Amino acid sequence: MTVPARRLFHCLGFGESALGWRESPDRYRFFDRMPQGACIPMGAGLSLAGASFGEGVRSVEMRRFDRILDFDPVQGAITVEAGITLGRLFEFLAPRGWLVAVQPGYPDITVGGCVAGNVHGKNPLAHGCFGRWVTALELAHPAHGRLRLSADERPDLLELTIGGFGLTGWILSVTLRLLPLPGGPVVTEPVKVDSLEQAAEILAVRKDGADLLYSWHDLAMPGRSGAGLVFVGRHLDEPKVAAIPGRCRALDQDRRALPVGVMNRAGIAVLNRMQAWRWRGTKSQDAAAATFPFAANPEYFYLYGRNGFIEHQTLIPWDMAEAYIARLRHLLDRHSVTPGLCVMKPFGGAPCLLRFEGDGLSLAIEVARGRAALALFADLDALDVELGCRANILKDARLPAAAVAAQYSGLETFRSRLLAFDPDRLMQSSLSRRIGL
Amino acid sequence: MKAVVIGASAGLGRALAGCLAEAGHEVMLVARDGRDLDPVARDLSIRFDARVQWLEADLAAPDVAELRTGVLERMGGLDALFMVAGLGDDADAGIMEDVALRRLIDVNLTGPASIINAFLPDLMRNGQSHLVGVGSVAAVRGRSRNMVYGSAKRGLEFYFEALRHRLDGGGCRVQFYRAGFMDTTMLGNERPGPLVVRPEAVARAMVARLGGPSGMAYLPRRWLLAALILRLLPWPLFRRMRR
Ligand SMILES: Cc1cc2nc3c(=O)[nH]c(=O)nc-3n(C[C@H](O)[C@H](O)[C@H](O)COP(=O)(O)OP(=O)(O)OC[C@H]3O[C@@H](n4cnc5c(N)ncnc54)[C@H](O)[C@@H]3O)c2cc1C
Ligand SMILES: NC(=O)c1ccc[n+]([C@@H]2O[C@H](COP(=O)([O-])OP(=O)(O)OC[C@H]3O[C@@H](n4cnc5c(N)ncnc54)[C@H](OP(=O)(O)O)[C@@H]3O)[C@@H](O)[C@H]2O)c1
Repeated sequence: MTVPARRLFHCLGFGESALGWRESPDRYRFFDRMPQGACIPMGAGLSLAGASFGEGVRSVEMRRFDRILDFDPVQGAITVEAGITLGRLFEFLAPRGWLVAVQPGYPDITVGGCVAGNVHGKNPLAHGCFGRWVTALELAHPAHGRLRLSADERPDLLELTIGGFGLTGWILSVTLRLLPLPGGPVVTEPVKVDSLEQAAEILAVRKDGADLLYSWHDLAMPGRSGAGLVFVGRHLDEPKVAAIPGRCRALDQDRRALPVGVMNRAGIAVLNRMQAWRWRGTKSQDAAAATFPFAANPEYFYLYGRNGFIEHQTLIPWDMAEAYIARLRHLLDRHSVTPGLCVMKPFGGAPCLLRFEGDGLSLAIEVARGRAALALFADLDALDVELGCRANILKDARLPAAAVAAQYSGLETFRSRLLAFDPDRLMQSSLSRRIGL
Repeated sequence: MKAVVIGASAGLGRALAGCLAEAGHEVMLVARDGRDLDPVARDLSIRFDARVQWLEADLAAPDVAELRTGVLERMGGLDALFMVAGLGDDADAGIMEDVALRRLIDVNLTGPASIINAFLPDLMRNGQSHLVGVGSVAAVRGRSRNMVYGSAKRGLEFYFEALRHRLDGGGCRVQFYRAGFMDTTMLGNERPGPLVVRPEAVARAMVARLGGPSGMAYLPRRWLLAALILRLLPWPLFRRMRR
């Protein structure tokens, strides 16, 4: 057995950092031992918050557990070890005509991270979040050994583990239902909109039917109307085998951004013009490019100033969407902050515990870190509470405990169920400590 | 080809089993823990539609007769034996416990020799077989680190040289590799340095060279130069290379 190495961890965007320990086992006997001190499972470490590391915490990387354990090409189901990446899984599934229904946009993200984060994909309204596709999993916890979880075996623990931020222990393997992968390209048609409100209306009615549905907005222009594009994508069913993902460049959590951020208002305005121009026409992409849009341009993440960026994604009840947008515009002006990215997606599913799921409109902004940004985000926390919105815990590296407590009615239930399962609270991270778990 | 890979549950052995299965060979995976071997076997069978089985055995005290029967019964013969498993110990720098010292020699030398010895008749009878061993660049020159490990690996290498001599002209090709640093748990959890390569790269080269020359070679190849320099370094300089 090897000795864990000391390591300074950062999340992408430098929103949260901590000095902890890193260990990368590859044999199952690792899970037989009772660890000394706090641990946390780590996938690819690509979260935007400190979810898989913490001060003095031992991060146990799962990337070497990446095998396919079972595959049913008739029913469309697969069992994999949790460290397998979405990219590797895609490479296996696509030529065989199957697809993981919910995938975040970067191929190095692991299946374990997707379960523990209950992540969303390109159309959360139609496909829900990742947990909806999980039928069973195996969990290892130092105090309980190896446990099988499914609808019939410890369903309560399964519920706690999906979107549980790794706090219930190591997910060893996951069984997923799959979607048939249509053979043709993904054809995305951009619809021009003049404002965020107009996009919200379209997203509300175009809800079903699309395989890909989201909008992108330019908030750098005077007035901050949020002119932009609504992308409606359909996967064409043609008898052609989908392409496998090309090589992607790794995103480096430790890489500092440019010393001077290009992401000031003028820089963002220029970038937005370029993007809008690039995306103006109907686009036909292979399934891989459409699934992992960020694989092609990881440089985007390095354009922020040396402090990096922070993201705030919030889930707004449909009837509050207009009010939220108006208030957001006002707050951006008041704090003179211009988001480098603003994206909206329609959501579905039912809220549960600490999951970012439920009926509503999701609005995400990414901004360069700094005093103004932090003040803006503090105001957004208050706005979220006031309008009954919930912020995505896994994406906002500064989200305070008070905001989580005010927005998530499931927090107390989550806490008490976690304590009942693990009274010693062996799993801890920067995130869990920050939000008071 | 029917191949047995000793040390196939992790690192280089696992990568090698993958390359062999991908190339359409039948593979028997051997290591100590079925919990690790089973997922490898499943993965390779599913991904490459290959026939992959596994057996547990401990190089520290192998029941070689049982292992041989198990292999022959399940595969009906063998064409290649890959001796990949190895064990290092952080304490192997001068003063270590006797059990740990003996274990290093058992796992890296005695166990491998005894398994090879058991399969030798099968390999010789075959007429077109392969025997491949893995050593280490740590065995290039005796140093104050990996003292016992390096000695055992040097011993294994010597045994392979003798085997090559013994089997010459008989149809069993004997190859031995001094492997360089690879990104496996054997190297610990520090960030991999610039000399560290992925085990898959070494595994691919080993499979590609199966029809190639017998004898000893470095993998990756660039270690040849580094090893030469290390070997020829005059003592007054070499003695300072101590950490
Ligand atoms: C370019 C990019 C695009 C993204 N797009 C989206 C998107 O479209 N939608 C979305 O929802 N998210 C998105 N994300 C966020 C990302 O999907 C999540 O943060 C995801 O959890 C990261 O997984 P990871 O493998 O990197 O895990 P980590 O970041 O290492 O860990 C995430 C959490 O999962 C836990 N965990 C990881 N592995 C295990 C395991 N085996 N057992 C138990 N717990 C485990 C960790 O403890 C931690 O709490 C994106 C991120 C990037 C960098
Ligand atoms: N990694 C490097 O940098 C490096 C450098 C030079 C040379 N090498 C050599 O390359 C070879 C492969 O190394 P690696 O890095 O791939 O090692 P590894 O990742 O530790 O894998 C070693 C394999 O051997 C098995 N093994 C270990 N002890 C065993 C025992 N007593 N009985 C049976 N099987 C045993 C292991 O499984 P179990 O433990 O479950 O049994 C595992 O499958 C070794 O010979 C090593 O000495 C490695």
